Amino acid sequence: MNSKQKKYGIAGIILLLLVLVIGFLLLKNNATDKYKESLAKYNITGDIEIMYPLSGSIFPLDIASPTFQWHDKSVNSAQWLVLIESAGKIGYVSDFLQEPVWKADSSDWEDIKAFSAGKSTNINIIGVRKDKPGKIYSGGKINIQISNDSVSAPIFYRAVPLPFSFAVKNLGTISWRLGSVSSYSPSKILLTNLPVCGNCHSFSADGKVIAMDVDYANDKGSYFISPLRKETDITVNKIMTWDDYKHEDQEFTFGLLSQVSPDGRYALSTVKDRSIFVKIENLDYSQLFFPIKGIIAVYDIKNKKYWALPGADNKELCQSNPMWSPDGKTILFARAPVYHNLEAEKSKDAILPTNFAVEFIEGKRDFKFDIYQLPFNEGRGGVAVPLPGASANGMSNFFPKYSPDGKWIVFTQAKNFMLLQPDAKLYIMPSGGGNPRLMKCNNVGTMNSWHSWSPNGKWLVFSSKTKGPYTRLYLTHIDKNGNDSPAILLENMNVRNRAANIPEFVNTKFDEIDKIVEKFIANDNYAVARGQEKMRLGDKAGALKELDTAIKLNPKDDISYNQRGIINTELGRHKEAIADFTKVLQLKPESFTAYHNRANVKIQIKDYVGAIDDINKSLKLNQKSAREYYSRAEAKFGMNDFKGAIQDLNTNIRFDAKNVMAYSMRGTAKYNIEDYKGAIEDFTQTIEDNPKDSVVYFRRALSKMQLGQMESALGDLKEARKKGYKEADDYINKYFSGK
Amino acid sequence: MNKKYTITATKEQNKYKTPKSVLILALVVILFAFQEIIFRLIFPVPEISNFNRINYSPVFFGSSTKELQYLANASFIWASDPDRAESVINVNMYGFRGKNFKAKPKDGVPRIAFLGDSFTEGFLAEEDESIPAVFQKTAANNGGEYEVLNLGIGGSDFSTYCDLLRDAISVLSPEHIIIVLHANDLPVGAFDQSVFAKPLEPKYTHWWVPRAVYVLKNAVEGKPIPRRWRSKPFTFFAPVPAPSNPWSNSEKAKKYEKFISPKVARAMKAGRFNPFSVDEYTNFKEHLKESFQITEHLNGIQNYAAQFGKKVYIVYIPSRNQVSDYYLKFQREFSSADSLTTLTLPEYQIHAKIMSESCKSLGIPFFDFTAIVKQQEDSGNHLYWNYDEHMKAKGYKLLGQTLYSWWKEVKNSYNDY
Repeated sequence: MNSKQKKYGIAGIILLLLVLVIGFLLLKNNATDKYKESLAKYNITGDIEIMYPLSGSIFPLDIASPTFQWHDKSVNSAQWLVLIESAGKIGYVSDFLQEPVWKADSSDWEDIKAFSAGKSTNINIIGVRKDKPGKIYSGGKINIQISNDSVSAPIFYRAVPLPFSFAVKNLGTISWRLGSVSSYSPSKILLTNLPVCGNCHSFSADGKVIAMDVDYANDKGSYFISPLRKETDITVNKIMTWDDYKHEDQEFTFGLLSQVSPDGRYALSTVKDRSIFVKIENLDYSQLFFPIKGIIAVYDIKNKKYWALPGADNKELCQSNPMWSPDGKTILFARAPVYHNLEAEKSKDAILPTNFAVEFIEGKRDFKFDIYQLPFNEGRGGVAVPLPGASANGMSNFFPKYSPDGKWIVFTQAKNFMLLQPDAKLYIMPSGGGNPRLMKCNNVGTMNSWHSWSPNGKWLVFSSKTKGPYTRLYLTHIDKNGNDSPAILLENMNVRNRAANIPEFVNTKFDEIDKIVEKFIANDNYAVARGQEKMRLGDKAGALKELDTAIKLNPKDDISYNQRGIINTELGRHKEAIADFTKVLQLKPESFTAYHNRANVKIQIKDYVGAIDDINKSLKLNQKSAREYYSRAEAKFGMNDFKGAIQDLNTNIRFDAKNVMAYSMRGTAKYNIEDYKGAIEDFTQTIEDNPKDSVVYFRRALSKMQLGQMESALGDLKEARKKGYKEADDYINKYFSGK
Repeated sequence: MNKKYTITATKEQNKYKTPKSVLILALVVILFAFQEIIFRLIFPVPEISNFNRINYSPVFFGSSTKELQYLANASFIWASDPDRAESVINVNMYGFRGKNFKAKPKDGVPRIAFLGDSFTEGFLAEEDESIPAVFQKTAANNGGEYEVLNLGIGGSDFSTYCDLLRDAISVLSPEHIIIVLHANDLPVGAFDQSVFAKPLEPKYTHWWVPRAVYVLKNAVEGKPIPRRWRSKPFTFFAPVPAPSNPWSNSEKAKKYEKFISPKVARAMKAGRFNPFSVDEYTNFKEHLKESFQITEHLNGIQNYAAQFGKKVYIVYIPSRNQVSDYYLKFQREFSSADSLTTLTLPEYQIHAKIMSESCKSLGIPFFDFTAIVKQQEDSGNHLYWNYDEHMKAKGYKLLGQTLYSWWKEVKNSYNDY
């Protein structure tokens, strides 16, 4: 074959291939063209109901392709085609689909966005048969829009297994995730296997500060505040506790629904709070949780100071759920009259027995919140006023959230209560108050709640239940007039058998956050804190275990030994307690507390000499400690050194005139040295301070009898008997003929 | 001869004469190619060089340290002389039972990986009688084309499955992962979330690297060099004397001989009956009553698999004593306990319940074989061997078929739009 022949041969082959390719394309186009023509001609609809998305839905420009789903009533359709039409032209035809479901691959979706973004777009779905090309058996159509507005920020949320009781038992299964609307991959797990509860999280407006409820050492008031980095550690030094707000008044704080300010300078929370928080045997709504009392406190993050926010600090009201305006100058919060439930208030547990809430569960008692507006005034507060449209409307109004430009407020409304309400719906209204509009994005017949605005103010994410008991995240577009669109599902943020809740936009990029790492568990401070918390709950054995762990982790920490010594003392393990306090003194020879504690244990085991020795040492460290004199008096009393005891008690009373116990002991000591008059004076003082003490009445009676004041003594004996001191009876019978 | 007819090469012609050096070079190339072909025929290499069963198996194999280091194209024997049964387990380049597989699944053919212990690997049954093999055959008979990988490892446990799942997902990309738990895999220890932190980074072997280099490298590094043909199979348990066989310990042996029947003792010493099954009944009895926490493990598995879009399923196979008292009389022959009482009572069935509750809450499809196996046992159809704890081929067959029927239904639950 010469070269000329070769050339002709190659050209011939190329031509043949070209003809084949063009033929194939023509044939292919012919098939779809027929459908296109039919569609243009007949505008085929009917038989196919497009279940998702709903007509009128608006998708952000940066969203990954959604999954279209439909139901075809026609029995003749064997396959389906999706034809996308924008500006009067069909710009995309799918392959033949075997199932009534379609999700474009990423490159097709980008093409679709390119020709349809910003325009009204029809999604046509037709039922066909491959073996009968061109014939259409069924059809359905919706109109959607791919907006030119992007979301441009990731969503931070929590995924929780259900029911609530399972999640509480398996805290490690809860995860905190970051999702991007544009991703085709599942959301990334930032934090999981946290062995304690973690709840409400919030971010500063610039996305640089994160704040989150983390029940450090099971202290429900604990709150984590930290700069948000690619990898953020939860360490002890970044955790404060709302319970430190007026801790001394013995009224416990759980710290509910806290929020960090837009500038990250302050945080607000409900304090001195009590909630109805019960488990319910219902997978869909497996808890009832709403505050019944509480005030709002401010925490100055920089200066580490707390105070009640004037205007939201009325103890006769339940004030909770504070939210900041974008400029940080105004606070919105939910308010209701306080509901006193003494049993609930006494309980040290956050989760109450279900019977505490029977009235509410059975619908016999309402509890409705109104939204109030209050100037923040750099923490000085002001006068709270009800927000027109979100108050006094016979409904419960909560979760108010300002749009980033401050023009709008979206809030949740339900018949009653606050979180996780089956009838909760989202409303939008102008921020100054006005007529609230029910939003189009509400999924019908289910909960629509916790919501967050995208930083650019164009989108709102919220959680809702549409398919089964697990909440999912939805997005709606909000235009400049506050009009929203039907909800679109954030598919890649679904987590199998987990409720996706508390979604919050973070003003950052998806790749800027990778991990939140718990770094407080393997830490002796944590074990000490847990020990203290267990002691508070009365679990002494559990507390002891925690302290053992703390000491194992750090055998040189005097605080752990001291704490364990106290627990050992309470458990009656005197030998172990003395060993612990002795260890403290080895580690810290100048420990006043250790001498004091060891002395008290020694008194309990009647080692009075040893106790006095310890107290003498502690007094050298602090001569003005009233309680040391009292303890030494106890020891001296035990050794029958009544005069010495009286001397120490005189000093104690000089420092602490309100010590009833000191008067009582001094009275007894005086009685023992036959100073009956002095004894009567001390017992009288004791009775004035503590009129319920039957023993003191009895002792005063004996003192009076010694002085012959029989009638008065009989009165005291009767009083002692009345107050439960049975021995008084013997004396009445013996010396007063049973009068 | 007339000179005018003499043909002499012109300068031009001489130009095309092949020089000697080129000829030598060509010869070298031919020889190189020849040796390369020979080496490639003799010494195959796995596509991924750092993925092998031995990295997950906690069991000491045979008596040679080489066997311990690496299993590729090897064979071993699991035998039970008292049952007169034996199986030769041929493993592929990655040390798993069955044919070699590619790292990347074939387009359009979903890959299903079975993780489990010797029940999954199919001890005392032929390769095509194992649970994964029966599953694949049943699927094919029902028109389902799947690539099923048997990643069962005899002697492994729950922690092995976590490690293997982590690496198998990143290396082999199975779409579905079925974890087959046998009763002796439970209870589990505390969950360590770092298990899933660092999946294996596969090291791919390059086709262009001369095979001789690979062979030499392995030889220098003291690593075994797999050959195309399998060497003579070794017994899973080395015969006495071998440190790994407890009968090599004379004190132990003396103790054992007091209560173990001569038939069983002989087999154990020869490595032809599991020497660690002494007092298996007593140990099991205690284990079966133990409660445990598995939710966090399952949560970790589920989260990890979900990151890659993979679907996890869990099944539970009971031990023979949980479903029948028939086997107790055989177990007496290697049990020191005076009396072996029934383990079919509810108190010995709590593990499957714990698994079921956790799986249900997390949304992991779970199937418990206890009822099905018990039904067969109650009807006199004994699915396990008398002495050895494993199932007979008919047992594996029942499980494989049932498993497919269940799986084809529950897999749709993952298509949750």
